[in-house]
Amino acid sequence: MSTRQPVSRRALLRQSALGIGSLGLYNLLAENRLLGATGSPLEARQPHFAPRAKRVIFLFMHGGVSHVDTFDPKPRLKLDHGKPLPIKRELTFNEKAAGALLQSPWAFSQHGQSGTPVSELFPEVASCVDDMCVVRSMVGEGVDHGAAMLQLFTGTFSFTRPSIGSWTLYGLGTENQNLPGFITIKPTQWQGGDKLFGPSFLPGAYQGTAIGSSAMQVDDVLSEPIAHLAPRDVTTQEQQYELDLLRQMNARHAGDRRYDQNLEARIQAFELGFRMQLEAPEALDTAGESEATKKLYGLDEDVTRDFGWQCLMARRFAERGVRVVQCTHSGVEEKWDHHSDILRLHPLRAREVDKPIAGLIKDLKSRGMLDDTLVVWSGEFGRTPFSQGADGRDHNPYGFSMFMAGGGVKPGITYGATDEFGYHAIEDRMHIHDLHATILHLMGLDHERLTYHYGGRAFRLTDVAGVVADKILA
Amino acid sequence: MNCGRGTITIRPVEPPLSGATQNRAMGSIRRIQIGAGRTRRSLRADWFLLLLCAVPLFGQDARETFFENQVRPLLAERCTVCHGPQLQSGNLDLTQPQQVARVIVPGDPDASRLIAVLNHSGDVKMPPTGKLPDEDISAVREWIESGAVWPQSTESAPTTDHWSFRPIGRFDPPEIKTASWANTAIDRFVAARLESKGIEPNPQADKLILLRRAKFDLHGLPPTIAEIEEFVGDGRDGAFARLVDRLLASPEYGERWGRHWLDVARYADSTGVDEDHPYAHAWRYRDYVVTAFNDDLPYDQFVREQLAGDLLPADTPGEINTRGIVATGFLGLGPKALAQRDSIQKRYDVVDEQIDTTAKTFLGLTVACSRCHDHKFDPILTTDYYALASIFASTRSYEEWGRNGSESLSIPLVPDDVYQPYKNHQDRVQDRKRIRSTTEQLAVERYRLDALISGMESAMMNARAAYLGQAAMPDGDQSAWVEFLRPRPDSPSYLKPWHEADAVEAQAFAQAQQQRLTQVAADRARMLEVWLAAAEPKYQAGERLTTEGLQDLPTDSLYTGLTEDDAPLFLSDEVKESVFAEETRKRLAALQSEVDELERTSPPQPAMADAVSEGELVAQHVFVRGSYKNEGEAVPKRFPLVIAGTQQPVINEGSGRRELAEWLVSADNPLPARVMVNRVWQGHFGDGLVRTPNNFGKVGERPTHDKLLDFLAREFRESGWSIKALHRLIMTSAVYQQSSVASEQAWDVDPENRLWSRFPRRRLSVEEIRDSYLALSGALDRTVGGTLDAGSDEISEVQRNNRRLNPDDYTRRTLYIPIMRNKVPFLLGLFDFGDATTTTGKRALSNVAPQALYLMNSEFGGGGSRNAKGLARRLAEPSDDFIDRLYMTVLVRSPQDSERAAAQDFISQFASEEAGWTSFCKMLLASNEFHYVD
Repeated sequence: MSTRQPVSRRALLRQSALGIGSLGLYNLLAENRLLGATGSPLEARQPHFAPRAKRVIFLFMHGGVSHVDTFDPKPRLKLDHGKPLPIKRELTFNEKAAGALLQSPWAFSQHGQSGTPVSELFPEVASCVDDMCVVRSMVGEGVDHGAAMLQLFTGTFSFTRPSIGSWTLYGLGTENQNLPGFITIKPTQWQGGDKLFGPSFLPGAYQGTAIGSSAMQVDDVLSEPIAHLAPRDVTTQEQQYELDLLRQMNARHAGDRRYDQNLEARIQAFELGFRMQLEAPEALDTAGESEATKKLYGLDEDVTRDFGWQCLMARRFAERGVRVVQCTHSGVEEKWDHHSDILRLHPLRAREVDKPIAGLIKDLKSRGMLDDTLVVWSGEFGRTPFSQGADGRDHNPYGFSMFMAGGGVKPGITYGATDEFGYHAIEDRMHIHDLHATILHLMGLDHERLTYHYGGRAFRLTDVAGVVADKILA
Repeated sequence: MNCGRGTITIRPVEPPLSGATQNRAMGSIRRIQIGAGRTRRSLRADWFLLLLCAVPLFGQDARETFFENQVRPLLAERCTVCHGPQLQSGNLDLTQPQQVARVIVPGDPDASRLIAVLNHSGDVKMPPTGKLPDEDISAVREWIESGAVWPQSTESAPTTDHWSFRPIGRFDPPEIKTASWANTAIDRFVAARLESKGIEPNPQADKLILLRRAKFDLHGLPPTIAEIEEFVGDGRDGAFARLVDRLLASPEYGERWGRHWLDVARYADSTGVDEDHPYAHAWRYRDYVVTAFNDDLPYDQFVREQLAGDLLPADTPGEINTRGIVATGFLGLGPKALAQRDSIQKRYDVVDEQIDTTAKTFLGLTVACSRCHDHKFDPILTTDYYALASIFASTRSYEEWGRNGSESLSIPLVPDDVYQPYKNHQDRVQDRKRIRSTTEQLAVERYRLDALISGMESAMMNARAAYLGQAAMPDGDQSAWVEFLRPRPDSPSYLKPWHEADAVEAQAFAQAQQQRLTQVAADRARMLEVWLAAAEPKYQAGERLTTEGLQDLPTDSLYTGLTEDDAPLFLSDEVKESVFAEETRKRLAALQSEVDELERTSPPQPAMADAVSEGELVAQHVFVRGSYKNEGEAVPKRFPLVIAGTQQPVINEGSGRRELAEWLVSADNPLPARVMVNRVWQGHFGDGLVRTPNNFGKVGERPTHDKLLDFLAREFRESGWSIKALHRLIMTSAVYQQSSVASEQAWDVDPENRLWSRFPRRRLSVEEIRDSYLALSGALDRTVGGTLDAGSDEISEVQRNNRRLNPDDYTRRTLYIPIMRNKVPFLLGLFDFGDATTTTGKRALSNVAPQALYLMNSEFGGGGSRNAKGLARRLAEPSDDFIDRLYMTVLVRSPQDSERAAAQDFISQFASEEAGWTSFCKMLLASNEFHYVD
C-alpha cells in the first residue's frame, strides 16, 4: 500500500456515496495517515492526542560524548582510578586496548535551583539545567558508530527503516507548506549517511531536506543552502512568464483528462515550489537578528560559529513552523570519538557547542517557544569508564547520558542512573526505543498507533518495543 | 525421544555429567562461530527422526499453547542467557527438556526446585537481578501443575485455502457480448467483468498516443522522429505488432525492463548499512540482468542462475560458469554491515535479508516475518524460516564474516591458474611496498633518535626562552619547537606541567622527556629492525609477510604530537632526502624501482564478481524470538511446508541453493509464475492484477481477475517461460491499446481502475525523465553496459572517494549510474527511486515541490540548462515550423493553432529569441503532458 497516491477525502466520499467505496481501503489509508483535505502528504494532521511539543530540535553530537566526564559524575572512578574494571566487560569496539578505570579529570559541581551536576566542560549548558531533564540511563546496542547512529535515528541497525524525523512528519505533517517539514542541517555523509534522515519505505515526501553537509564550511553551505531554490539564468519576471505558460499548458492538458488528481497534485507542486522560493531565503537570512542574539549563540567567535549558526537556524526554522530540525556537530570526521587524547580533545569539542546549545535554550525560552519546542541533545553512545590505551575512552552503548529541554519534559530533573562506574544503565533504563516512544508521545503521537503498512504488515518506529518514560513528563 | 504425539512430558532424569555438558557447550558455540558443527550424516539422521515424529501442529492442546505463549518466551527472555546453549550456568540448559526435568517435578510445583528458586525462598534466588513478577511465577507453577508438557518439533504442513497457494487453474476465456472489441483472450476476461458492471469497453487510443505509450513502456524513452514516421507510415494490418517486435529487438528494451527487475533485486553498487563500501563489480550483475531480458532468457533459468548459478554447468563444458557466478549477485549485492561488532548477528542479518528478498521476489511471500514467531497472517512457520536460513547460512557472502571490518565476497571469474598468479603477484607488490615503507620508517626513527631527540632538551629550553621573550626567535628547524611548545588555548594536556613550570622545573621536564623519548624511539627502531631482518629473507624465499611485530610499536601522546605534520619530529620528503645516508637513499630507491617494476609486470586484474559461493555447512537451529543466543530445535534444510509439503527430498549436499531454485520453478509450485506474470502486467499497466506485487499472502490484495492471472501464468509456463512472448500477448490486447480517457460512468463505477476500464495514465520514472531529457537534447550516450569507467573492474573514482555522485556529470542512461546506498544521488531520491535496500515491488510516486524546483532551477532542467538549450539548438534555427517540430519531438503530437499563438506570445516577452525558445523548451519539458504517459 505504500505505493498508493494520497487519495483526497472528496474522492473517497464520492466513492462511498455511490456505495462502492472500499472500507478496507479507507481504513488502510487512514491508518497510513495519507488522507488529507488537500491530498498533500505534508498537510498538517491531527495528532493522536493533545501534544506537549509542536516541533522538535535534535542536537546530535557525532562520535559519542563521554557521559562520565559531562553529566554523570562517578566518585567511584576517582577512588578506583587505575584499577581494573571489577565487573564483566561487555563487547567493546577495541577489544585489545581496554585498560583500567579512568577518573574524570574534570570537576563536577551542582547548578541552578535543581542542583543538577554538570562538569566544567559545559559551563554554559550548566546555566540551563533548571530547564533540562538529564537522562543518565540511556541504552543502545550499537557498538560501532554506524550501528549506533542507525539505531538512534531509525530504531534499528539490522534493517533499513524510516528515520524518526520522517516518522514524525508522516504522523503530523507540517504547519508551513512553504518550507520543508523536516530539515537536517549539515548532516554527516557516512555511518548511516542519508538513512539518518531518510524515509525508507515511507513515501518520499517525508524525506528530510539536507542543508549542506558536515564536511562543509558554513559559508559554503550558504551559497546554496537548499538545492535549486533560486532561479537560474532567468529573472524573476521571466520566471513569472514561465509559470504562467506552464499553468496554461497544464490546465489545457488536465481539462481533457478529467478526474485525474495526480495531474492536479503536480500543478500544486509547482505552485508550492514557487512559494518556497520566496520564503526559504528569508528563513535562512540571519541579517535581521540582533547583535545580542548572534552573540548569544556565539556567532561572534570562530570556535562557536559553526554550531551557533546551526542552532540559530534551528530556532528560525522552528519559529516558521518546521516540524523537525536536526543539527549535527561533526566535521570531516566524528567530533567526539576520542579513543585517545581525550583530555585534550573533549574540552575543545565541548567549547564548540556549549554556548550555542545554551544560547538556543535561552533564546527559545525568552521567546516563549520552549514550552512547545522539544530540544533533544545526544550522541550515538557514551564512552567507557575504563581507558582505551593511555588516554582515551572507548564506545559505551550500555549506559550513557542525553538531555531534553522544553516541549513538555519535566524541567530541572535527572532521570535514571548508571552503576557506580557509569558502565551500565541500571535504574529507569531508557532504551533508544523508549526515547523514541517518549519523543513521539510528547509530539502527541502514540508510538504503537503510528504505523505504516508495508511489505505485508504494519511497521512502527519502535518495532515491538518502546515504553513512554512517564516520570519525565511535566 | 518420545515420538508419540510430538510432545513430551518431562520426567526427572539424572543430571548429565559435567564433562558431557562441557562438550555440548563447546559444540554449540563452535557451531555458531564457524558454522561447521555436525556432520552431514547426523543431519540426515535428524531429518529422518523429524519425519517420524511429524504430528499436526494445529492439533496441539491447550497445555502446549499455554507453554508456547506463557512459559517458553519467559524462559527465553529471563533465563536462557545464563541457562541456555551458550552458558549453561550450573550445568543447566533450560532449552533442553531433559535438563529442565532436573529442576521440576511434573504435577507438583511445590516440590519443584525451579519454583523455590523463582520464589527467592531459599539460598539460590533466580533471576539474580530481581524476582520475576508474580504472574510469571504463577504461569510456571500452572505449567508444572498441569504436567509440564513440552511440545517437540511438530513438522506438518499447515493447511490453507488462500487463493495464491492453490494450483494454477486452467481457465478458458469467457464468452462475451462485445466480441468485436476483443483482440486476445486477455480482453475476454476483462470485458466479461466490464459487461457485468454495465461498462462499455473503452475505444482504442490514437495511433501517436499508442506509439508514445509503447516506446516509453519498452524503452523508457520518447519515440524519435524516424520512429514516428515509420509507424505512422505503416498503414497495413499488424502495424502495432510489428512496432512491438521492433522495440523488443532493441537493446534499449533490456535497459528498461532490466531496471524493473533491478528494483525487485534491490540492486545497488555498495554495501550500505554502516560503512557503505563499494561493490566494485556489481555492474556485471546489472549487465547480466539487462542481457537476460534482451536475450529473453527463459525465466526458470533466470531464477536458477540468480540463486545457484555458481553451481550450474557452464554453457561450454569444463569452463567456469561466469554468467552463473555473476547472476548470484542477486544474493550477494544486498545491504551488508561490515563494521558491526556482533559478527553472528551481522551474518544472520544478511541471511535474513537474503530470505526476505528471495521470498518476496519469487514467491510474493513475507517469509522474514517468521524470524521471530510463526507468521501472524500466512501459514509460514518459524521452522520454515530457519529451514531457509540454513540454506543461506551455508552460503558464503563475506570474505571473512567473523572478522571486524569484514569485506564482502568477490569471486574471480577466471580459472585458478589465471587468478592465483595475479593474486600472488599482488601479494608480492604489497609485501615489497611494506618492506620499503618499513625501511624508510626505520631510517626516520634513527634520524629522530640521533639528530633530533638527542638535542631535544636544549631545543626545548631555547624555544621556551624565545617565546618568553628572553631570547631571539630561532629559525629553521628550531622554530617548530617554539610553535609546538608555546602555550595556546588548545595546548595538549600533556604540556600542562611544562607550561606551569619555572625555569628549573622546565629544565628537568625537558631532560626527562628527552630520556623517555630516546627510549621510545630506540624501542621503535629496534622493533622495525627485527621485523626487517626477518622479512627480507622471507620475501626472497617467496613467502608471505605478516604485520606481526609492526602493529604495537610503542608510542604515547607526546611522541604522537611531536611527529604530526610540521611538528618538531616531523620529517618532510625533502628533509628525508637531505638527511638520509647515501646508502639508505640508494636502498630505498632500489626498493621503489622494484615495486614499480612489480606493478608494471603485474598480470591484469582478472574479471571479478560480487557474488556468493558455497560456505561451510551449518547445522541450523531455530533462534527463539529471533535471537541466536536462544537456540531452539534443530531444523533441516527444506522449503515452506505449506507449499512443498512434508515429503521433501533430503538435502544432504551443499548449501541447498540449487535445490531451492529447482523447487521454485517446479511444476508443483504455483507462486513464481503467478508472481512474475503479475510483475510484467504491472510493468505495462502501472499496477498489477495483484496490486501488492511482493505480497501474495493474506494481507496482500486479491487479484482483480484471478482467472486471467492463472491464464497468463499457464501461458507463461507453456511458452517456455518467455517474457517477450508475454509482452506480445499483453501489448496486442485491446485492454493495453485502449484510451486512457474514460467515460464518467467508468470513473464512477471503477474509480480505482480495478476493472481495467481505461489505460492507466502514469508519470514517468526518474530514469525516463532523465534519459528523455538527455535524448531530446541530443546528449544521451547510448553505450550499452559496462561501468561508467568504461568496463574497468577497478573501483571507480566516485566510489573510491565515497562522494555523492551527481548524475549531471554523466550522459549515460540512468541505470548505469552507480547507486551508493547511503548516498543515493539527489535526483534519484527526488523522483521516487527508493533506497535500494529492500526489494521494491513497486515504486512510490509523489508529486512534491522540490521536484518542481528541480525542473525549474537546476542545471539539468532549469532555464540555462544544457538540456533545454540543447533541445532548442538541436531543432536548428527557430523558424515557422519550429513550434510544430518541437511539439512532435517532445509531446509526439502537433500543436493546435491556439498553442502556436501562445508560444509566439511567450517568446516575445523575452529579451532574445534564443532565451525565449530555451525557456519555452524548458516549460514544455516540465509540463504535465510530457511527464505523463497516456
